[in-house]
Amino acid sequence: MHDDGETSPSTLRQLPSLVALCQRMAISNVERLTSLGVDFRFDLVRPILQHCSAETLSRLEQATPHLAQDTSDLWQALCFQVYPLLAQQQYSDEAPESWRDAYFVLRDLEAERLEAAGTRLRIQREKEELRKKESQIKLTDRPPPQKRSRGWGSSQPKSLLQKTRSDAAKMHKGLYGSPLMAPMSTLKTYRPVSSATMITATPTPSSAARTSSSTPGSHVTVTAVTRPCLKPLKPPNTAAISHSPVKHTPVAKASSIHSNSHNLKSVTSAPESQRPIERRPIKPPAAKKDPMAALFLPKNRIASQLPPTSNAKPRP
Amino acid sequence: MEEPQGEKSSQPQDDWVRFISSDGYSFLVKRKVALASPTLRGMLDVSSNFAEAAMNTCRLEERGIVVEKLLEYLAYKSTFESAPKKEDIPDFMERIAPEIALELLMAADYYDS
Repeated sequence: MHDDGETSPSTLRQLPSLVALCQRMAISNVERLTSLGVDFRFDLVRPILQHCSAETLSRLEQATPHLAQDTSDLWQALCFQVYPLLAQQQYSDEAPESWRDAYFVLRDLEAERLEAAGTRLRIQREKEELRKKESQIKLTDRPPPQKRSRGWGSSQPKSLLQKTRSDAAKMHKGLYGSPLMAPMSTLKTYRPVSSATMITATPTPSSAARTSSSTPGSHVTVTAVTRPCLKPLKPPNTAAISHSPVKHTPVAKASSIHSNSHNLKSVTSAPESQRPIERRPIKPPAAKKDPMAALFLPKNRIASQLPPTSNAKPRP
Repeated sequence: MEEPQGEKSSQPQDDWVRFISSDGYSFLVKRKVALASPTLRGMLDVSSNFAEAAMNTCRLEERGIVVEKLLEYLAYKSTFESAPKKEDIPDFMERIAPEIALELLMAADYYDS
């Protein structure tokens, strides 16, 4: 603030005064201030304090006791600077007694608001994830509903009959390229029977029912699931479908599967629901399957494996 | 630096004056530089004639580093205040260590520079 008066001012450059330089220096390092000492002039340090944060201001006030008397304006400025919206809401009408306390009140309010918003966000996100999870892959104990026949990786060795049945099912689906013919509705349905031989990892009866009922020509699960009355309602469909062929010859199985898949209407009739519980052994209805037997010659079988006509091999 | 000649203010302002800080450091500057500060000017002219007359010295109550920076600024100012506008001059702020900024602020204000 010292102006040089020796020469004409127009040729002199106005160097910043040392005071100004020091203030600038202090401002750039304001966060490092811990104390202002005891013999300062408030006017001198005011520009510095205007640039410091709330924490620094608190710290300095604690260090230099009589600073607090003069800092009310500073706190007010801080309030509006840091929390503009809230400060306007709260203090637009009247000024609080202590701006310093007002600042801390505002800070707590802001923290609450953020907390509430954060909680809201979290809840929404969790809901969203929950919704997503429902459509994700879930681990269950039961095998999932199968849309296609499983031609590979069965965990138990398949019996001949089972293999034939699965092959027939595949053919029905067109996997082997054999032409499909509409199953003849003259074929009768077979009563479900409980079989000791469990065909492994088969789709659940319920799922089979689902898949078969979904599309008229869709493939029905080939393998049978023998569950002791787990689902009295749903199994009837598949039980009718699957149980009956278990004890039959490959021919019988092939045709029965095929017929059953398309004879759901008869299968789903009420009396059928009793079937799984009855556990009646079924005689191999060889005669019924003969018309269809010729259609289901598996292509990949050797001659000896071809389904014999009207031969029933009861399975134990 | 030459020894101060003990000249009175009637001397042309080309001699050196000494400033002694509170912790015993001595600083020699040209009289012209010292007069850039009104406070120092007053101290050199009016205060304790004996001290000033004898040795052209002045005792200051500041610490050594503070006095040093203060005088440095005065020298900087004297050197560059008459420089043409287009010339680039070094920035003095770089030479201020943050650690002394506050003390220097007080001193600068006191010595009105």
